[in-house]
Amino acid sequence: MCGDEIVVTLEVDDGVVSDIKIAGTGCSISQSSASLMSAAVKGKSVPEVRDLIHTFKGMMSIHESTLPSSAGSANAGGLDLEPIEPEAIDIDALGELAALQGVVKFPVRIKCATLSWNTLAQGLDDVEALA
Amino acid sequence: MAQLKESDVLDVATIRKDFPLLAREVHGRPITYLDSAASAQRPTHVLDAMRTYDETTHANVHRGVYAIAEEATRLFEAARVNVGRFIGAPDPAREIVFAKNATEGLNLVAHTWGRKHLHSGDVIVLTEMEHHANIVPWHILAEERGIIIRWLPVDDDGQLILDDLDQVLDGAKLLGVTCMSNVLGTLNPMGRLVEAAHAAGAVVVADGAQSVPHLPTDVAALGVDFIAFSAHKMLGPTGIGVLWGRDELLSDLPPFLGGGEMILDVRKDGFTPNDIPWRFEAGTPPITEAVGLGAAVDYLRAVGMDAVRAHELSLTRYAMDTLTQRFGDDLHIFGPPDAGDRGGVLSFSYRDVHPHDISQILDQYGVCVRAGHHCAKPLMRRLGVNATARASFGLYNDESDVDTLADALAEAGAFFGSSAPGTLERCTRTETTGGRRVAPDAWPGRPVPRDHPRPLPFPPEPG
Repeated sequence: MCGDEIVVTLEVDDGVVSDIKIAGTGCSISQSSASLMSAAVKGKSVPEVRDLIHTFKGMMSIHESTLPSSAGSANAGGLDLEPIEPEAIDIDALGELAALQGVVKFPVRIKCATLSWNTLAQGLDDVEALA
Repeated sequence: MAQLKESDVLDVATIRKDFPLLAREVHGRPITYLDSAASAQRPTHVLDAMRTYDETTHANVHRGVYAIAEEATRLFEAARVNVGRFIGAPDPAREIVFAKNATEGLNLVAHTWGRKHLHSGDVIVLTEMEHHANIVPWHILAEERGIIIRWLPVDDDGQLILDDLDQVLDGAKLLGVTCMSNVLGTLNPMGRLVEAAHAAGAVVVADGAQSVPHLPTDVAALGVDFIAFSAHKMLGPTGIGVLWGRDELLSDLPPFLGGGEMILDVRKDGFTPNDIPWRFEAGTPPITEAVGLGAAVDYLRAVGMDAVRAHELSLTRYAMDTLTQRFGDDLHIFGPPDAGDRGGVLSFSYRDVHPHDISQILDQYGVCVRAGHHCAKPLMRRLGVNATARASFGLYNDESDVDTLADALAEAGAFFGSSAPGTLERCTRTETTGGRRVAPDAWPGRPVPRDHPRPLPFPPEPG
């Protein structure tokens, strides 16, 4: 929608992300998120990286839904539904990435922050598919 | 509706009173709406007309014999004729087709005229500056039946390169062209393009989404064969737009969508389509919205499109001068350097600050601009950018809006590291209280100390 593009190049040796490179153009939020991401991810095992992606997206208020489909969407038509308890996010595990927490105040920009992370997740999927 | 003075220069202060939304605040600041190219605000005249219809007259059209059904039909068809007259249609009752918006209007041409007349190997011509609405329907046809698309290129000033126009049009069956670019503001030389296209035997499909709301339009004088535009860009509601087509072309076309209203007869073994324009209007139309569009046309006619153009031209000139004076080489405005060659649409880049970031910081000061590719990705590629920021004017904007834009841009510059060391940028704003202009007031400035480590890119809290 905005025209930004990010390319993530991954090197995975024995289940560890031994190297990661980011290229592309983007806004300040996408660039800083990508930069912080690559520092946080380098040297971690694939399961650790997947955990980090999940935690980061949780901080960005993107929670995988655990509701059964019959529950419908929250507050549909003004109904009084139970508020969904977001799972607790381990902010400390995010280290410097916690600095991006403020992005959630600007929902339109959440996609900027998660662009590189979604690309990374796709990259891990590709690596897994090759294995 | 406020009394409007007959004058080339618009009384914007009075006009603004007609637009309720313009009195609101954003993040504690008066709103400065500079995104009319995306969608325009609505005057109470339009809102009242729609509400009155809904509260007193609503019924389905073309059906009932009872009083309000007849009245609804009368209002609906009157809106059709009204908007037709507004654009100088020779026969408004027959040539004005209501669609959902300009995009649907252009799709209508592709799916009807295109399906009937374009076959494998046929050539059509589009321009590099087209909005996706006048590109993608043709790509769909190209994929489906192998038509060939040639492109009229754009120069560095955002003008069409017409040196090889006749060669490019040679053998072409259709020319798709925007009357005014939604990115560059470029006013294309329609007279010359239409003449060349017709000489080559090509029909002209014009995108009027930006031009019809901002310039006097006379389709007979323009010479185009089809033109599409949207109500919501001309002070009307969303959900309705117009395709105008030449009677003899429209009469020849098969239906677009199928269903009720667009038929004369339906049998088990087939159907007989309706006469134009209803042939292209399947199902219950957006009746309330048609009433709203009619009211928008009345409002614009009362202001006068010559006055609208004169006002926006003057404002565009002021904006280009102001931005150039204040920011020099830090700010690049895309499109024709002469304001006379363009409408009130200004796409710009500001240093290396991403349009998203510009847009967000401007938002903190109540300034609404658009950031992105503006549904013109081929043009973005030609300009060598992924996205631009875009400010656009309507008849309710004035020079203080431009000043506010410039002040907010200066703040954005300070936030991302001002090129002027050691200065504090202060903003001034002429405050509007209930339509009355009061003395300029200084915004609280937000100093960015020179040695402070660059903070993460979050906009400042207002105040």
